[in-house]
Amino acid sequence: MNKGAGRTYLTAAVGVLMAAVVVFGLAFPDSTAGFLLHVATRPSTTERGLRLAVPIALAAVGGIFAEKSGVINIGIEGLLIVSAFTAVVATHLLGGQGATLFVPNVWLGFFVGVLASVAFALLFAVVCIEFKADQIIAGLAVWLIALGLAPFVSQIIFGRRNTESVPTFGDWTVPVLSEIPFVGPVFFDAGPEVYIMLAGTGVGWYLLNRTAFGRWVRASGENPKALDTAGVDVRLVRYKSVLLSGVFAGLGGAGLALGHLGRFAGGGQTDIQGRGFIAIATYLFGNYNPLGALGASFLFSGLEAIQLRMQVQGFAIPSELVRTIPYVTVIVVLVLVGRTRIPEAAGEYYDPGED
Amino acid sequence: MSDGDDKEWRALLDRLQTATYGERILLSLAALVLSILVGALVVLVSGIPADCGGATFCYNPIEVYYELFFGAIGGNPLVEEWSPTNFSMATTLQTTTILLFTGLSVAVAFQAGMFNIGTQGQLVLGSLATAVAVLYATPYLPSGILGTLLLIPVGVVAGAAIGGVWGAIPGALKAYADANEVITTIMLNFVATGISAVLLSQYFQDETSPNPQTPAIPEYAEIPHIPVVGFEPRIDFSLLALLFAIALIGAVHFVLRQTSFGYDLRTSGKQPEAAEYGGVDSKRLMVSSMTLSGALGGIGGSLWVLMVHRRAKERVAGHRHRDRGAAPARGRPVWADHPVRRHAGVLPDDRWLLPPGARADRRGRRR
Repeated sequence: MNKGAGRTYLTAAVGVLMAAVVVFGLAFPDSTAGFLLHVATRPSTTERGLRLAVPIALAAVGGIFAEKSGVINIGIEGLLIVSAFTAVVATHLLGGQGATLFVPNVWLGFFVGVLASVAFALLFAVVCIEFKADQIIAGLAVWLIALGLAPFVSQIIFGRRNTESVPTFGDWTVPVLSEIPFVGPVFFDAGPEVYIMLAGTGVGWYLLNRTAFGRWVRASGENPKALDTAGVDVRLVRYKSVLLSGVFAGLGGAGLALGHLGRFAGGGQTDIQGRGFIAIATYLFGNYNPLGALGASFLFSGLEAIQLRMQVQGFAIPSELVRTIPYVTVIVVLVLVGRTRIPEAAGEYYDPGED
Repeated sequence: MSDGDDKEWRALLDRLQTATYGERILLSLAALVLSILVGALVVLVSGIPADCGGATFCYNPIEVYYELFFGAIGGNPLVEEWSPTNFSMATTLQTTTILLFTGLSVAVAFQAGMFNIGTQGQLVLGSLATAVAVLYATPYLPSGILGTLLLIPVGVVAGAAIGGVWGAIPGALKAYADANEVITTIMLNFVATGISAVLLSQYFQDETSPNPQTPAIPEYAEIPHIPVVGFEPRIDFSLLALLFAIALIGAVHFVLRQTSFGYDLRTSGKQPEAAEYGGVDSKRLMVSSMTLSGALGGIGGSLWVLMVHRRAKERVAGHRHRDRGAAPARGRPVWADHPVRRHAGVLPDDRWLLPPGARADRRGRRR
C-alpha cells in the first residue's frame, strides 16, 4: 500500500465522518448525531478539549525533535508521567497554595516537573547516544521506570499510590478579547498551560523549520554523515534534540497535572493513560509537523472531551469501549501512515569515527 | 542507513552470536549485580523521609534483600524450621507458573526478532475466553474426574485460541503494514482491557457479585492438587500446572531447535535477509510466530482461571495484588509484609512482559 496515500485517506475519512455527524445532526436534532453535534459545539467542550490536548500536543512536539534528529523516543509516555507526578509532589512539598520567594508555588512546582522530565531525557540520551543502546528498549525502560517510580515515591511520601490534591492554575483572562462570543471564552479565558501549548507548538515549528539548529536536527536524522562532514557535531545535535523532547514533554505533563488534574493517581496506567503513545500517533499523522501534530491532538482530546460530556449526560454507551477509541485510532494511524517519512537514519546509532 | 552503520551493527551481532556461554552468563551476572546495587540505593534513599527515631537511612538494603529472598521461599532454612511446601513457597510458585507462560510467550516472539509487549492483553482476553468456554461447556459434559479431564483442555484451548488471535493482530500489522509492534501491542493492551470490561459487564457478569467478574467455574474444572505432595490447599497452587508449564517449555524448545519451522523462525530473527534468501516467507512467519506467542500468553490467562481464581475478573494479573493485603506497618519497608505480594504491588502491570536480556529488534525499520 502506498503509505503517502494512507494519510490522505485517513484525513478524508475523518473529514467525511465529521461532515456526516454535522449534516445528520442538523437534519435530526433529536438523534444521537444531533446530540453529539450539540455537545461538540458547546464552548465548554472545546475549552476542555483544548485543556486535554496540552499533554498530547506538547509531547508530540518533543517526540518530533527527538525522532527528527534520529533518536526514536517512545519513552515520552514516561516523561509525561515523571513531569506530571513531580510537578504535583513539588507543589505539595512547597506547601500548596501561596508563594516561595515571591513565585507562586504552583509555578515552582511546574518548573520542577519540567526539570525532572529533562533529567530523565538526559538519562535516555546518555544511554542511547553514549552507550549505543537500542532506542526502542531504552524508551520502554524510561516508560516502565516512570510507571513504577511514580506510585512508589507516592507511597513513600503520601502513604498511598495517589498523591494529595494541590492547587491548580487559575484561568488567564485577556481583557476585551475574552468578550468575543465563542472564540473569547475558549481562547482568551483559558488556563496558562493552554497558552503554553499554543506558543510551544509555534516555537517548535519555527525552531525546526526556520533556524540553523532545526536544519541540523533534520540533517542529523536524514543524513548524519553529511552533517558530520559539514563540521557539525552530530552527537551534540542529538543530545540537544532529546533534551528538547524532555522539555516539551515536561511542559505537557506538568501542564496537565497543574492545569487540569490537580493531583496524580499512580495506579494502573497512571493518570497519563497512554497519552504519550497517542502523541506519537499524532505526530505521525501530522507528518512530523508540530502544527499538524497540534491539529491531530485536538482530534483525540476533542473525542475525550465529548465522551466525558456524554458520560455526564448519562448516555448509554459503554464508556470502557469509547475509551478504547483513541488507542484503536493510534493503531489505525500506525498502519496507514506509520512509515511515511521516518527520517532515514532514525533508530540508528551514528559513529563519527568509522570510515 | 549507511554502509558504515550496517557494518557496525553486523559486527555487534556477530559479537553477540560468537559470545560463549560463559561470557553471556558473566554479562547477565554483571547486569544482575548492578541492578541489585541500584535497588539498594533506592531502598536507602526511600528510607530518608521515613521516621525511625534519629537515623538518616531508615531502611537497611541488606535486610530488605534478605526478606525478599527468604520471604519468597518462606523463611531461611539455615536458621529456622522450614518445609519446602510452605505457604509462601506455594505463593511464589503460583506466580512463577504464570510467569513461565508469559515469559515463554515473550521469548518466542523475541526469537523471531519481535517484541511482544502485548502479553498482558493476550493474558486478559485468554482468561476471559477460558472462563466463558468452561462455563458454556459445563452443562454438556459429565462432572467428576471425567469433567476435570475434559473441561481443563477446553479452557486451555479457548485461552490459547483467543490469545493467539490477539497476538496475530500485531504480527499481521507489522508484516503487512509495517506498524511498529512495540506500540501496537501496547495499544492492544489498553484495548483488551476495555473489551474485557465491556464483555464482562454486558454479557458474562456474575449477577450475585458487585465486582466485575464471571460466575465461578465448577470446582472439578480446577486444575487439581496432587494430594501426596502436600502444598497447603488454602493457596491456589497446583504442582501439575507447574509441571505443565515446564513441559511446555520443553515442547517450545523442541519446536524452536528441532523443527524446520523453528529453524526458519530463529533465522529470520537473527538474519532476516538470509532467511528470506533461503525461501522463508518472512511475512507469514511474523504472523505465525506472533500467533504462537499470543497463544502462550493466552494459556497464562487460562491458568489464572483454572488454577487461581476459578473465574475471570476484570482485574487480573498485575492488578491482582492490589485487591488484597493490609497497609504496611509504619516505619517498616513496604515490601516487608510479604515480599512477593508487596513487590508486585509497586511494579507496573506490565511486569509480565519484560524479556530477560532484551536485545534489539532491527528488522521492521526502514533502512
